[in-house]
Amino acid sequence: MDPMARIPVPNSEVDVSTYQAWKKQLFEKKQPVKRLLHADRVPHNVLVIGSGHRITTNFIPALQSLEAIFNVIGIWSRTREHAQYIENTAGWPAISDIDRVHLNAADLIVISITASAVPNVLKMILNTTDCSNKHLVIDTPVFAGFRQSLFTPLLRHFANVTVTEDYMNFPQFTLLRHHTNTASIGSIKKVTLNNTGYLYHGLALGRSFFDFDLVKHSNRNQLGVNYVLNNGGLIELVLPYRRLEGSVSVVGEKGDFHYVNSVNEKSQKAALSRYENVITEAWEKNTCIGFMVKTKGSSRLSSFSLNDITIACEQRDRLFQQCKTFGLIDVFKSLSDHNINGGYNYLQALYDNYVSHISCQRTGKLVWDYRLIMKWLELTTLR
Amino acid sequence: MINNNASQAWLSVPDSLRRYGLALIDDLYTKESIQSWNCDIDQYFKHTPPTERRYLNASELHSLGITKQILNKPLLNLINGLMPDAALYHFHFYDIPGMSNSPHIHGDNGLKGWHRDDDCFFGWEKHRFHFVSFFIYLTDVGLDSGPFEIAPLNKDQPLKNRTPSTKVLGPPGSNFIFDRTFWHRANPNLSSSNRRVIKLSFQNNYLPNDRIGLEEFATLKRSDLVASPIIKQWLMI
Repeated sequence: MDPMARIPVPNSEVDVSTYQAWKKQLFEKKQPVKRLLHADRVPHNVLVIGSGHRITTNFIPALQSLEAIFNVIGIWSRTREHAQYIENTAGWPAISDIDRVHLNAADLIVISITASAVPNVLKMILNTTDCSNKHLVIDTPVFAGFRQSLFTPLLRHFANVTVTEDYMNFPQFTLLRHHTNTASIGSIKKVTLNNTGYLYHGLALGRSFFDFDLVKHSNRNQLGVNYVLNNGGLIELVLPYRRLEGSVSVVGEKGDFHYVNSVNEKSQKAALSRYENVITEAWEKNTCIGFMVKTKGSSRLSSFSLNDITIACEQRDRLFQQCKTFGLIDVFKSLSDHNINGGYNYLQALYDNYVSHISCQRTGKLVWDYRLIMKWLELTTLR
Repeated sequence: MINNNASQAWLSVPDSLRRYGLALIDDLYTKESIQSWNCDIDQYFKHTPPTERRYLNASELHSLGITKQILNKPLLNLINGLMPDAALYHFHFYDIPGMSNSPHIHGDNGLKGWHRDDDCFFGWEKHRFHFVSFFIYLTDVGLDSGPFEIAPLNKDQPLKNRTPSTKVLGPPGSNFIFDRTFWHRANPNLSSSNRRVIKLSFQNNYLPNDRIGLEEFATLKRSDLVASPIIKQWLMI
């Protein structure tokens, strides 16, 4: 017979600020995701959905470099030939249906498809099996447009959801975050993203320097968008976005740190002589060999390599793809280890997506009313 | 145990935990045992100023000779019935000093101490328990002496203002289990005396457990407690 317990009688009630409770809920999603994977069950089985350019260019090298941790058990695509091509080239078994057998065997489900098709694929998966013990890894921006945010409750059927915000995990930005923490520039006051960071990627990158604090108000002007965060931090996003041809400046209480690209040699040299703390691309014989970190007069090279992936490449476009792959590797590593992406879940991604879109589209100052945001989150995130 | 209007209705422990996140167990220990443990602890801390927070880890509790009494047969059966693959990861005594204005744990989180424990985010499988804690009050706990409080809101539910909650009140020896994935908190101990508690926490043994390897548990692993196969399993030997 089961041991018996006396039925508790409520004798009090929760008395907290609704705003604080919702803020807590949003930030609690920055959960230590490493605990979501069984430590004693390595490698984790991965089912990949999608077979587009993003999969072939970034996901395949990223997952192959982490094959000790992740074992791809199948890839599904609505275009069977594409999946078959990946089976032939990468060795991931192409599957013709998202069936119960494959879903049940998967610990992780990776979705990288057109954002507008995400709700239907999610419904198909959830209709096939119980996903309460499965981890979903999904590409930004998760859903397409505001209307699709109504499908957000579908995500709550998974044990956890990680969003592949690889841009903020680009090696140069990871280096910048690391060095701004260690270079004694004091608490960060301003981050300027010059032609760097597309909409939500830019906001995510900017917020990553401020521990993902929320936006208090935004101001769209001729140059771009300024975001003022709750803690007083400022993110200046100077448009237009130009992939790797932009720069980033981080200004702290006691100093500053800069990332400059090497497209314009003159401006790169000028930055190196003007600033005390700089990170810049290091090119040798037309090949990018890593990033040069200059702090207080001393310089050292940070090269990146992981198995057969190296940052070395000859073309800027290829360098951009390599950075994306490295960023993606960091995202996958966050599932079993702590890094900045560990705190980036679908709520954060949707927040960045909608706040950045509205802020960029409307000229002038916008005050972000927490109560409305929290209400929206309440409506869209609860089952 | 709960308050003056305590209900006398009963529910199985798993059902109570699923529904309320809390199971109020009837006394597993005699008054004499509690009294004797308090004396031993007083003796241990006789040179510690009353204002200082007292804490005893598993090894120190064992040195007082009370671990065997705490891990008695009813407790073993209770936890084993609830979680057949349990592993221990907390086993300690601590007190909350009196005259405090804020909860001793997460008191500054903007939610008056309401929290779900960080280590519990793994708890996804809804049909089973992943993280539970067992409390034994060693002092009389009233409304002002820092009672444990829990709301019937599990990991899928956000903390909501005005949700009816339960403050667990009771005399020395009162004991209860709670699901750590539910929203809970320690109330501030406004009274003049310290609130004393012995706490044991359990999780499934297949989940990451970075505490069982601690030196404090090494003493238990070397002791005669491991004669019990259940305790042996709890210590992951």
